[in-house]
Amino acid sequence: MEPEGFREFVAARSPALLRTAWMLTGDTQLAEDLLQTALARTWPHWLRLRDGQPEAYVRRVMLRVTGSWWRRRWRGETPTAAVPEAAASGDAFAAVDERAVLLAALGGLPNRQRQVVVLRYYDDLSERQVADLLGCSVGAVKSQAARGLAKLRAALGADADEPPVGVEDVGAEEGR
Amino acid sequence: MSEDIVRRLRALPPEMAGPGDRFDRVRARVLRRRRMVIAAAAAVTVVAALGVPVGLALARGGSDLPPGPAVARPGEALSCPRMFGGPQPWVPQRPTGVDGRSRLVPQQQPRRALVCAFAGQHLSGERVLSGGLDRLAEDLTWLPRKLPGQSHPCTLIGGPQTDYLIGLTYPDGTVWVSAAQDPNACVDTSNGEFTSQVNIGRQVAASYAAGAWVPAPAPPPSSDRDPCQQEPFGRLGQETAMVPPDPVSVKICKGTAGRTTTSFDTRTATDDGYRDLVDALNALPTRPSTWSCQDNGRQPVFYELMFRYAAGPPVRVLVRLDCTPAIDNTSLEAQDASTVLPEITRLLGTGS
Repeated sequence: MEPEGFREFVAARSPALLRTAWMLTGDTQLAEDLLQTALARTWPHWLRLRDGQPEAYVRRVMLRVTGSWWRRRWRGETPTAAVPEAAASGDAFAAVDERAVLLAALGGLPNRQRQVVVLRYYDDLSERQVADLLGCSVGAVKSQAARGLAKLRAALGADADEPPVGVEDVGAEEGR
Repeated sequence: MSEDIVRRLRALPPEMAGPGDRFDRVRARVLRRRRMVIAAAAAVTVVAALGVPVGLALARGGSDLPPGPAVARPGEALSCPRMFGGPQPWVPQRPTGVDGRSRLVPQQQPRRALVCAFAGQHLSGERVLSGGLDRLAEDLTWLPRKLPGQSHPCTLIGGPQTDYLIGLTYPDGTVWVSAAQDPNACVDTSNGEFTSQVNIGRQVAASYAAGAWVPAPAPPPSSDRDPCQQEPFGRLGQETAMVPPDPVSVKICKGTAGRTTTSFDTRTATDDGYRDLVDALNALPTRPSTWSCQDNGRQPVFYELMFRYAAGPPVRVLVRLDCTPAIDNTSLEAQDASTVLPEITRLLGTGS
């Protein structure tokens, strides 16, 4: 039996959740699969969740599922420390190349770092919200975010000597 | 530079519409998953029928409870879930490897007791209790069962609520117990299969703070100094009989309300003289207690009957002449005290 309000939730929130899923997987089909998996696992608990934070629950399931995919290397990807050479900026081709470089760098991050970067900087969640979703401390979120962002910056050819970025200087405010 | 990377990150995802029938696809997945669960359950039933207890244990572990890190195989040490998964009472996993239906916890000392505290939904702290586990077993194993459909009035005091999970590990299994310290002391205590309406939140909070299981904090001091309110009461079995079997004594406290205080007459009977009182109480027609009192205009006299046992906590039966219903043991109530009162007054030695 279809739980009341779930169809509307899926319709309303799927676009945003799908983009997060894409950021976590880097692949359109995998993102769709991830989202459907998370929604299917949310369905049985909908009556309990609908008056709370169902979107946070879906995100948590997505993180858990990508974690298990990561452990099983189901995606067939091989994380690498070396990312493609950064393109020179200044023309249209460079912008496309830069996007590919950033995507490759994101895919090269360890899974937890990637999750933190996506939740913190893409979804614009606060440190506390990210920590709650991932079940870790705020301090761990800060350090993972700083490391992840530093790697992305390095991949894009930024000054490697620039100090790691604290999470206070971008994105949402703590506790927002 | 940081803002620049964030801006580029946010521009990364391509335009994605996704399938228009996403909801239908999700529903198909749910149905497929349910069929798999049913098939698995059928397979486990076959295995259980063949006499393999492990199959049964696995089936219970695979219940429809939300998945979480707190799920353990029988006998494994538990760890706290990061989130409190639902409205109280909620446990991350039903009892495994031990009987969770007859009692809240087994009548044996657990090997390990983990207390998880939750601020809102989120885990705020965890602590393995270093002592008092024998007392913990004694306190929890005797909690009376909440009757189906039973409810009782609660006060509506506002304030923070702290949810707790107690993860108990036994040689053959595990039990989670949920409890809450709420301003109204109204939240039930449960292991997912057995629920008690006794709120143990204050005791769990005190034990969590102490790092060891401690006795329930004493109730607020009363100017009446009720001699029958000096110890915790409430006992498994009081939900099926007003006086559960085999009491070894009864202490009777007769309270007479004055203008500002209540005076008490007390008598303790240990011989067979109180058996007739037990029989009279257990012969009464009863129903689940509503913890209510409709003033009938009679004299404000009450009798507290504390039935003690060789092991476990006492049962308190409260007889209030000015109330309807007149008799209550917090699980059951009876309307009329007329058949019981002569036995009480006889034991008190007041004649009639």
